[in-house]
Amino acid sequence: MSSLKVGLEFHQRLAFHKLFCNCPSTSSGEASGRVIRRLRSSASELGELDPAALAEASRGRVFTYHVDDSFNCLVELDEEPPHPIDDEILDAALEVALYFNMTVVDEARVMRKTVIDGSNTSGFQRTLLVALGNNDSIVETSEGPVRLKSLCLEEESAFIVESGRESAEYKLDRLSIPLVEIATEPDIKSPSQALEAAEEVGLALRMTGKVMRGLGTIRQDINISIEGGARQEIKGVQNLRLIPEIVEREVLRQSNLIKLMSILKERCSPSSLTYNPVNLTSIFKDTESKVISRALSKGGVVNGLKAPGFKGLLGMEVQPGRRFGTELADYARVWGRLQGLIHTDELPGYGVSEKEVARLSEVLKLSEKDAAVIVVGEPERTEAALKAVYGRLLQAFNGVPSETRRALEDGNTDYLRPLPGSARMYPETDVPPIPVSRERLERIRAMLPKRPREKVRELEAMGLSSHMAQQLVRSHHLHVFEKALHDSSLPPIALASFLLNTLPYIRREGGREFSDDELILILRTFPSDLPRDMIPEALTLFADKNMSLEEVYEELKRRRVGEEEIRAEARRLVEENLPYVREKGIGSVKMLMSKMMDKFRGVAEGSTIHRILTEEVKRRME
Amino acid sequence: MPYSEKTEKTLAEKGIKPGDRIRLKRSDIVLEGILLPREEVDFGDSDVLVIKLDNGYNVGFKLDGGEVIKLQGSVELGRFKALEKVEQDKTLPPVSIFSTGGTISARIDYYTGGVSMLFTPEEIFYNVPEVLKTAYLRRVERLFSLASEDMTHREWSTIARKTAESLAEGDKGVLILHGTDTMHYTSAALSFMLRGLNAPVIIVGSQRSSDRGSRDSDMNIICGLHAATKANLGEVAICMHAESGDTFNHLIRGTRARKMHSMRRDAFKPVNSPPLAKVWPDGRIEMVEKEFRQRSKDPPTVDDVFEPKTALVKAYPGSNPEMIDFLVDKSYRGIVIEGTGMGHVPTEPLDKKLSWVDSVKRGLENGVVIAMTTQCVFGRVNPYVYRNARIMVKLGVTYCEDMISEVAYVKLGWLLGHGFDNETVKKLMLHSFAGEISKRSLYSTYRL
Repeated sequence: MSSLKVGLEFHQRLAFHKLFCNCPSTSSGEASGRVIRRLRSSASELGELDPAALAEASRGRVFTYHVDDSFNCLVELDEEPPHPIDDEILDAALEVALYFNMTVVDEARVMRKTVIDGSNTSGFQRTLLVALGNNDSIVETSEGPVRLKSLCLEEESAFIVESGRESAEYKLDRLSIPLVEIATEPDIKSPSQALEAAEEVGLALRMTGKVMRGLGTIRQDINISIEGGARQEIKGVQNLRLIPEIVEREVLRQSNLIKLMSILKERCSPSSLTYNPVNLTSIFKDTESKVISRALSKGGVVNGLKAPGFKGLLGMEVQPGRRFGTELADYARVWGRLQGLIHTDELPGYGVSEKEVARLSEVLKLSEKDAAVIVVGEPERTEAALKAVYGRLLQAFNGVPSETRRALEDGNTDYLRPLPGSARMYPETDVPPIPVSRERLERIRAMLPKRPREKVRELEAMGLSSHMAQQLVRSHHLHVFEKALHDSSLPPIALASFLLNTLPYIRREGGREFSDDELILILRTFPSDLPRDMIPEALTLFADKNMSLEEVYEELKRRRVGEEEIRAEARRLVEENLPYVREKGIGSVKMLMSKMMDKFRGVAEGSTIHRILTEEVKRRME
Repeated sequence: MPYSEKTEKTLAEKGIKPGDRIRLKRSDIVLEGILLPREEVDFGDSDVLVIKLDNGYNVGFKLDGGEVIKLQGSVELGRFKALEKVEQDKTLPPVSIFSTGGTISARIDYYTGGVSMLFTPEEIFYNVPEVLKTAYLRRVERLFSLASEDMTHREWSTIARKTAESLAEGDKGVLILHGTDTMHYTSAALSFMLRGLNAPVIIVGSQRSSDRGSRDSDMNIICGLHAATKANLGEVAICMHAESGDTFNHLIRGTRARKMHSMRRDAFKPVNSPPLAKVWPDGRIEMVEKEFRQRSKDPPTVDDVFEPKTALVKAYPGSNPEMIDFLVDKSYRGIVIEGTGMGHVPTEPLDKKLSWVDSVKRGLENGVVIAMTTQCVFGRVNPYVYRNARIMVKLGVTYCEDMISEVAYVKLGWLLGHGFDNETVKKLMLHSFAGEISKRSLYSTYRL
């Protein structure tokens, strides 16, 4: 695997309002309206095509956008030009760039990147290159340094609600949330190094405190190439832990495709493969196959393509659970907008009888080494599908084609589209160029966040154990800790302990999630004279009951139990369990404490209860 | 190329011009790409080199003590690929298309983002291939390349003449591509200038630039062509999106349309009238307005006179009637005042100098025709409800019923161009030539 080359691309959302308007990035309520649009392709992109083909291409899909005043305005609807980018959002991107020692542009220029899948209402995504990598911009891993290539600031795509072959629906709450895209050079040489580099970049991004956290707020694309194989772009990995698996399975896929090539080449040459689709509809007139009969009843046709020399290869596994035939089916799905295809390596099957298979072999003149691919559906679609499948079969003679692929949940990938060229990018003329002055960079540089290692040391100096300090830095709560620490009455250890232990406990017990803002506010203002065990209660009252801070603390003071009451209960318990106390001595505190906690949990400090109880036990023993 | 003199000199010394492939070598980075020109109206720093990197991004970098060298691989900027000629189906209904400029006729240079006015029939065929199944584009001509705010009555006249010519040659309809800002002025002008219209004259435009997949121009052209070839209409009409979505278009009478939004696709709304029809991109046309002029046999005549000394003035709190004095002194022949509410101007302000009474009176006495419309946009003016309006009508101001201000301006200029006496002009201002005035104010037509 020494020839493996991996580059990563991170897409991290920033914690600001949207990039080109003032809509909130956090709102995700119900959509109240629907707007229907179509995207058209243009002559400059498809200049090679004849007008008839253009008509087919531009007929396109219908897109329904779910809209609401609470999360989108006319800008996301492509009804209003973009507003200028807020300084603080660009500053955040600059901060990330400087944190990684990158070279920032002297003038940033917003570009339009053509996107016609409907995920952006305009038909393009706005993006600007903010910084380029240099010799000093590297991410350290235990398997060597990984250089950074570029950092862009761009807008998030719309959230896909539903996708069909004819149409797709998107919700505009997510569209245009600012994100930074950081790309590394292909310096990564192993699956484990890929994971380590991803973790390091993720950590660094969180150190800035300017990024969104939570599911879907960061995703990775993986660029992989292998000697003898070809470069692949794998899109949309949300779970970091999946990266090594995806890399391993891609290596497997490519080596299998290379193996397939050598078998194929022994059998025949590419010239034996011709694009000669045959209409097989009559064979399946009375078929038992539901897939086929259903399509035929809707006026569909069955078309087949002979794949000389491919016998057994279509059924060959390229990734666990995915065969070469599955790769071909991807092409039929993407280019012909069909559900998939049927190939002879899996026949008889799908309700197709032996008789039909024999007839099919006869018509297509299949020899022992040949296979065939069958597609079912509307005539134009089956034609488009077979053309694409034919192209993919031809590529099999060359090994691995370069593709854009999609990460699947099990670590496999499937085909999305060919690798894009760079022609898809042109200037966003509605936003003037943005000069980035040296003074601005110096101001940001002077306030750069600490490196993780320095941060751990700083936390240790506050009295946190080394383990706790490491944990906090790697957790998602460092930012809350630092914001709260400033004027909180709680000592650092108590704060860290709450964030690292209590909060996950509340979550495990099915309690609600609290926002960073809620956490910070309560932790900052929590009165020193209230028991710390009441913090969860304070959060709940504040976040759920809509009470003001003052009201919350008033209420807690009312609920708090005084030392006299605790002592009275301790005495009662000791008396009640006198034989046990006498027998166990000071050892009885443990059992009695749990009874005390049952009564006073959340309304008195555990340490206070423990102290009083111990005093009472000792007193009685005397 | 608006680089600074210093930078331009540095580049010239190396024989580098925009479009050349260059390498920029600084102490911190080395990069390669195509050098681009800076914008004509530049918001940035004219020492910053704009470079298109191979990954498609444009970036700005200063030389910053580094050096720049020329490499192989220049490109020619601002060149558009010639499109191959397309055979048309001549059995389809013949139509002429006239392009006048505006966003709908603009093409972007993908390198620089610069816009050029490019217009050939092939441009339409390649961008809107549906056209080939809808109509035979007998004549496709670029008349001008003007942003719509740069239009004058001279261009209205040219469009009117070309349109009449095409209809006389047997076209089923005419499609005019126009900038949207003043499209409703042009539609009003053509409504008055083309007398006895025998076929639909449809004006379309674009609220989104043509480079983007989401452009509205294609659907507007398709619907416009359906209307031009199929609608049983002998009127001038604007055909633009009815909704923000790409669902259907409205056909709006040329004298009843107004741009009501600066940006949205459905910016054009009918004022004080229903839309003439709904038009779908698949070719369906549903008439909404009951009374309209139908197709007829004889081509129209052109009556394209216009008095350029006509003005449109708005009254507002604290507005000074010196504006009127100025126009009168400059020998203006007609003034449309867009009054407040039902057609009001200040007549009794505490500061007597701000009363419009004397200035209006002086204007009328000097032979200026003064007409009144409302800045409310919707609704009718009425001179009898409030005292200030009674004063105006008594002085001789013409209250224009439910006519849109912009239409009243065009109509007054057109009438004055004929050299009629003032009394005739005033009478004709209240005659509906092209549906610009309705006798009844309908409940259903106030809809935004």
